[in-house]
Amino acid sequence: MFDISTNTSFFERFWNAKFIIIDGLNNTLIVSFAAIILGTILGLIIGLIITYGNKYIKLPFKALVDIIRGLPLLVTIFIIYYYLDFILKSIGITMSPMVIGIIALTLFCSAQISELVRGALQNIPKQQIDAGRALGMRFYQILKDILLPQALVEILPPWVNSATEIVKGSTLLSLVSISELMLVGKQLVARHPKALAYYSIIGLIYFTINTIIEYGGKALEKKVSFVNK
Amino acid sequence: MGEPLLKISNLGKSFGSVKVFENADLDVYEGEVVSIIGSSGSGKTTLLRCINLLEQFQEGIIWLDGNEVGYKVENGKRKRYSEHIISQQRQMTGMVFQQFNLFPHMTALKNVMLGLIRVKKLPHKEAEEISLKWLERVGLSDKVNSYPAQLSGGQQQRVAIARALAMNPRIVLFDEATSALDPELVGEVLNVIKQLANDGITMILVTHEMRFAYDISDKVVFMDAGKIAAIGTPKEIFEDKIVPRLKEFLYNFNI
Repeated sequence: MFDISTNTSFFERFWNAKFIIIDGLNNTLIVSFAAIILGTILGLIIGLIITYGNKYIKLPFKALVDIIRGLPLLVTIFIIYYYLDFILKSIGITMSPMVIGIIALTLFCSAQISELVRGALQNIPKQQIDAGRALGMRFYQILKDILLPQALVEILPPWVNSATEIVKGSTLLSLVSISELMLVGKQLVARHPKALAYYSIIGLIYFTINTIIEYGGKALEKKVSFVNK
Repeated sequence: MGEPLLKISNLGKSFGSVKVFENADLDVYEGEVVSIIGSSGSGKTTLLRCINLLEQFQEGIIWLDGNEVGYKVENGKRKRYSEHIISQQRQMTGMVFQQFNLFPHMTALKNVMLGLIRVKKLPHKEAEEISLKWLERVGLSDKVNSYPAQLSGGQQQRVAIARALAMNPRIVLFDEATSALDPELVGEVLNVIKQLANDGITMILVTHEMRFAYDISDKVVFMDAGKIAAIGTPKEIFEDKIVPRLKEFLYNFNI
């Protein structure tokens, strides 16, 4: 795999491990972005149900969101990893750890997003709905053309925040042996105990990813904001 | 005069056990300008909101152009029409709100176009032409690409008027259209409304602008404590003051 002889320098060792690190980074990006995208879509749907659904329909979704928001992410990951895997295996389905990791982070993300969506929709003055109705619009049209565009702009800043939380949260997947960036870092440290050096580099990579997300978010905010136009 | 365009018969509305108004009767004919005056809480705005079905009502019937709107009677039971039919019936009325209620994420032009495209299903180009024409009529040709936040209150309200009128409603409802405006901006909005009245557009105005109501109206409705206390010509209401309560009310306006 890589050279573990003791007389090579840290940078040499690090350079030799570059493909493993890139693999780990790759997995981190896949898991994080899949969870952010799927979690956002799911969160939007759940947010709409919680805001506008009738009380029997919204109850189970509200419960799910409350549970996930109340649990530490690591506990959610363990539950999904062990229970869901166990249940699926008992009916003959095996899922790769990556997929299970994506499911756990997606659920976490969707719980956050659904609350953002609900809050933003409820913050829009009721008169906006009146104005749409007075034009003869149906509710789904009001939702699509009037409410959601305003709500989505409002949730963009906290959404960016959630996205960086997901990237950071993905490090916890190292505890269920998904070989993302954090686990790779741990393995490198195990073979060559220069913890500070390895973790600094790993940290720098996470920092870079999140900085890119934040700047992308800020640019998008500027583009879609209608308040300061 | 023929059939009234809008006929309200024995209308009653309550929020739970609180009666907002009752026994309201009103006929509005094509081309008429009707003002509703009265103190706050007398039910004026709620009555207006019942006409375009933004509020539900428990008693009475509203006919628009000969058709009963909002409710039908089925097997002796009063039933609200489906949301689909109600949204169609709402197209006969246009509404201008006290707080303008423009869509903040759209330019003035898009605000006016939205209903034409989504409700009337007009092609984009045609909707744009109609919208530009109406924005010109309210004197905002140079503001079509401005967002509501960039416009003054008076300009926003004129966009809202264009948005309501572009849908070509049979009757336009103005809900205290100038109450939220700075005093120096009231005139520009009243002028637009006056212009529309001169053009023969049927309208009902809930207003606190007594002078304006006197000048513009064919008929004035005085509401007091949840009842229509008087209906008359501007002269009957403002000069003859045909019911005693009217004297007290108008006294506050130095009339």
